[in-house]
Amino acid sequence: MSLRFDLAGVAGFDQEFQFSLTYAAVPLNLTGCTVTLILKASAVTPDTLGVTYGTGTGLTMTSAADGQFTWDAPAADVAVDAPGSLWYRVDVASGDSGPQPAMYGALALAAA
Amino acid sequence: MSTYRLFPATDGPPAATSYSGNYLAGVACEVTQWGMWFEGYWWWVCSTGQQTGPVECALWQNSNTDAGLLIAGSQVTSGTLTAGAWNWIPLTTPLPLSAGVTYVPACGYVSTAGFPLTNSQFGSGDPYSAGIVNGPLTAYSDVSGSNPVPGNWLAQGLFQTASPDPAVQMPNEGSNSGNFWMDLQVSDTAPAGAAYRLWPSLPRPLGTISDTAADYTLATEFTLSQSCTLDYIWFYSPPGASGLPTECGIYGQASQALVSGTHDSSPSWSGAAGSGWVSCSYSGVTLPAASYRVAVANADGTAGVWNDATIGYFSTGPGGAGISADPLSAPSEGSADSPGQGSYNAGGSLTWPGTYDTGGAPSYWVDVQVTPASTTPVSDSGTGTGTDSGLVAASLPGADPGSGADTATIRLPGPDSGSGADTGTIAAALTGADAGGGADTSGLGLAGADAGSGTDAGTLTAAMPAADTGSGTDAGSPGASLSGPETGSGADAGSATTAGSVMLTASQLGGSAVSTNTYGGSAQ
Repeated sequence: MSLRFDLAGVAGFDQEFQFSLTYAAVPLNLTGCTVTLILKASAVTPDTLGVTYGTGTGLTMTSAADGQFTWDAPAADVAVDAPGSLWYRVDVASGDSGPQPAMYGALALAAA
Repeated sequence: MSTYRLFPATDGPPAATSYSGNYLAGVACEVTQWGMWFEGYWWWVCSTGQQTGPVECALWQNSNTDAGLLIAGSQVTSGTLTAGAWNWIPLTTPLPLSAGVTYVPACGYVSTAGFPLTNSQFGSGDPYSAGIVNGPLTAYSDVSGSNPVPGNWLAQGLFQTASPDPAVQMPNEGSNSGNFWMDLQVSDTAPAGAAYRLWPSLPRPLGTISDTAADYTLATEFTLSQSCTLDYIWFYSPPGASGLPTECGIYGQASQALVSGTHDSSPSWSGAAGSGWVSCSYSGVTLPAASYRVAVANADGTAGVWNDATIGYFSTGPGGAGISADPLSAPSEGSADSPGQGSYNAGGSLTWPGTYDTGGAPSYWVDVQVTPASTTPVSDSGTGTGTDSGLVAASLPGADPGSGADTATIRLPGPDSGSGADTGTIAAALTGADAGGGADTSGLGLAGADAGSGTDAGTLTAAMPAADTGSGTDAGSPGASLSGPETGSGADAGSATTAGSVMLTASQLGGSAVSTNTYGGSAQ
């Protein structure tokens, strides 16, 4: 049930990850929801200092009804000294509910 | 609808400060706008070193000391929490707040591991040395900052170890101007069916003095922007009060006469003298939109002081710009009708409060509780096949448990069991059943069930507050909410999207991600 899911990539290169969100062990229907992904230096870094991705700006809904989308982070956004790490968080907002964290974790970045 | 938090985009620390024992965390804050609703608590749980078991939460009013008064209805227990995240702990029913009051949302638990803490946040030279202002929600600074709690009664942030129960003890100690990562959420939108008071969630009025031991009628002017039912007249009976008002009622401002059905010459108050806010219950009284004065009188007032007053409340105090929680409002001193806000009449029987001490702008803490009167929908109970058209748009909220895209804009408010196409361009609501098989060329939608298989089309805004069990296409163009349950299988096309919401419970969330990286073909 943990929302934390750490990722691994390579520093300084384009990254793509395919996400699948679930709720109560079944795919989370994201139809009508607003999904954002925030990439920042660490968990305690204010979101405003990070990079925010949304649908059409780094996020692509591949199957909203199945909770599936991809995240494409350009190389410039993950250009850290390797090995290093960043922190990401996926927020889902729908209707009257404000954005709620749906998934988050470290993005470990290895040297090329 | 807008919601506000103190930390909408800032996470707490990844690791907790190690501690075992009773623990309470809090933050001192206020709302600076009337008509705000407290929806719940946010509590940060560190990724490491902090337990994820349930916590208790409660809301306090700081009462001009370092103590507090618990806000009724504010207690809630969380479920299992999620580490490394803000955890949302909502109230079952949002609570209205009074502006200009210091509130302390708190959570507590018996710590077996630790708690989140970031030192040096609210003091002079710290990141939040001026407090935190997010729209109408403000968190104070520590006393060394530039925006401390009024009277410096409290530090910022707040903790306590005297109890693990936030409904027993308000966190009232500070440490190094540290942030203990307690947050709250307020909204500017009332929940459906809400009742309204001038001073909600205010166990103890502010800045009071003991008034004169005399027979008086005391009153507060208020205005209703729509017809409301009268639920209660409230009166604050201060500690040590000699007695309770012997009469109460509502005066029409224009007529200066008691509104029919509101005069109670022998009120049965909900509490004893000196017990704080007491109420007199009403039923069956509807007050049309107008200005009024809610009044109480005491024929035994000479026996001793029986009321408090706050001088200047409606001029330099929190009511200086008036009180507004639509549909209920109270004018400030400068906007009040004759004779002025916070008026009275000397004498033991309930009498039009036509006396006002210029410049006093007092509150005598006479309050009223109302509920907006429900509007009765117009029903089209006919079974004909003719056209129903009009010019009025409507929106009715409801649940949308369906998973598909809901983009309809116009619906008929009654069941449409016919099979013909329903099209139209002019806004009008059919609130009754449409059992006919012909085309309905209304521009507004079916507010009731649409069991037919034909096409329902329109162009103007309306909502669908009832079930759409039909299989046909429901189309429209302007924006509107699909607010009723939809179990049908047909496509609903148009320009608007559903207003349904998903409230996620963190413990139910999960997911995975896989890398599909090729690293642009240039990886070593």
